[in-house]
Amino acid sequence: MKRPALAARLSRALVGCYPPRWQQRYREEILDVLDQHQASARTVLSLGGGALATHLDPDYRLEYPVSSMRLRLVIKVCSRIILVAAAGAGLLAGLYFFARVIGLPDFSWQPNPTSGASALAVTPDQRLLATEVGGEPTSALVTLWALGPAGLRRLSAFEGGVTVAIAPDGRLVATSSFHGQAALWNVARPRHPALLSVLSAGSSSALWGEAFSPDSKLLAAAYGGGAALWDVTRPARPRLLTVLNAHVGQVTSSDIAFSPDGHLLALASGNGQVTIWNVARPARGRAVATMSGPRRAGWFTALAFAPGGRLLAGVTTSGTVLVYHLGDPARPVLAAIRRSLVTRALYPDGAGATAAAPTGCPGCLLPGYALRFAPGGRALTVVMDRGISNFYSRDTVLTWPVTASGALGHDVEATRDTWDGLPALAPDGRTVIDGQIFGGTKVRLWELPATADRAAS
Amino acid sequence: MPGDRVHGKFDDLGRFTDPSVLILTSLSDGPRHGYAIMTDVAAFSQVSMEPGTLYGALSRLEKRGWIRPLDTGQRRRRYEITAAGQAVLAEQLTTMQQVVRTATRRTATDQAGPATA
Repeated sequence: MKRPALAARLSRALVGCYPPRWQQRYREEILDVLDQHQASARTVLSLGGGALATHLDPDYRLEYPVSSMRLRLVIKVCSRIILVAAAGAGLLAGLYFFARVIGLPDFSWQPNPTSGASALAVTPDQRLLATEVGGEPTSALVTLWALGPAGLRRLSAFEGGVTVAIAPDGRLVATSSFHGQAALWNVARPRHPALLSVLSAGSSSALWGEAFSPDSKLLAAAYGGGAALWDVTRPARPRLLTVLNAHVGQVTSSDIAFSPDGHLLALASGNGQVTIWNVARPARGRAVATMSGPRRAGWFTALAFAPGGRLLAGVTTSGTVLVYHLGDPARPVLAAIRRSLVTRALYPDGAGATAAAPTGCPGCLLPGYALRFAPGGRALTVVMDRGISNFYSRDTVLTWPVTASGALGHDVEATRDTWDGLPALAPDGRTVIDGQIFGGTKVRLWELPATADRAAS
Repeated sequence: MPGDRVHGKFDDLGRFTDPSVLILTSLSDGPRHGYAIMTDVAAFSQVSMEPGTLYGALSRLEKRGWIRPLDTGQRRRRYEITAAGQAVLAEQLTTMQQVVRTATRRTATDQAGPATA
């Protein structure tokens, strides 16, 4: 410091920075010393350091009890945060060491798209499609697609498994976690999906189906004997409302559907039965009716409510289509039945007139089914995808006009050869979506020909 | 051991340990006020002590009862060393003399050449 006068002024000012009680005792003395001392930069530094040290002196810190308490609180909180962070880092390091050095099984997601599609879901506005490929929780791949006039555009992919549902508002996708529980993903930004929560209902049986309510506020997650109903209005913190226990056997491939007003939930619950639950008050959901399909018709593999909610259609594994009238949901009335339609799903050479797979295609799976009412509710369409070989199949699509009471008129048929796949019908009731069962993540769309429209008109 | 106790007390003084020894030494010759301590220390040790350091050490020495103020109410207040201060200083000087003797002996050995077995 080149200007002694400045150093002297700074030094005198710094004396005023000492704690008040210290100043009462030493201020005059130290000012007297400064009057005689040639102040320099060292003098300023010495007084600055002294003032700071005195403020930190426990004897003088007692002059500021509130600050002291705050300081102690800050130190306490910070030390705990550091402790927890250190413990967490140590735990992670330990887990990493065991997993990588000692060689525990690899729990990382390893997508295996060669095992084919096992679930498809479309938003009501038909803008987003989610496909699930792989089937195993640790290897399955959920792919999000944009559906538009130009066809399909792949948006993103993330881990999932077994099942997939997409919320009608297009903001959430439900799939399953590594441990077979329902998992919610935020797809509001579909190119950047993010896992929000894993929903554990405490069920030991496997998750096989999921459905969102029409208002996107509820998620039904179906397990072996029933379904868990979740409030997903805050998807990062879903709330379990109730578990609907159907007390029936395990099902392998089935369906679950909400009525358009969200008051009813239809659950294909094994043993060829469909249970209708009243979920108008979701926390107090109760079974109101159970319907059984014909003997030897197999189990219900796809369900659909008509737009008005008064008709429920289902198709069984043998291709038997049933339509129930739900004027009183507690007393469903079977309004129409079309038996064993799988025999209509013929192969190109005319074979396959029985429900069993023809000779020469031992690996062919049971037919895949999809059904949906047309938007106006005046037509019902069923898609049957029947394998020709392990890689190719034929979609047979039947469309019936439907009356308000649920009676079916004469059907119109359309066919298309495609790959062996899992079919779905888009909400417009005219677009058939095929996912590959073997060999990849591809999706194929085709429009039903005009002949099918005539049935609906 | 008393020396350990005194060292412990001096260690508590932290960065004021050395100034404390110098101040106690200065006051051993009789009561002095702040500026007189600074000039005396500078005269016998060539250490230029700054007011911040001086009063940091003075307040700690006073708190420990090793010095006490005289001339209450005077702006230029003098300090005198107490009996406890003298005892502490004696212990500290003993340690320092031991350090000096050891250092002198070892330095002399080094100058004479390394010791042989």
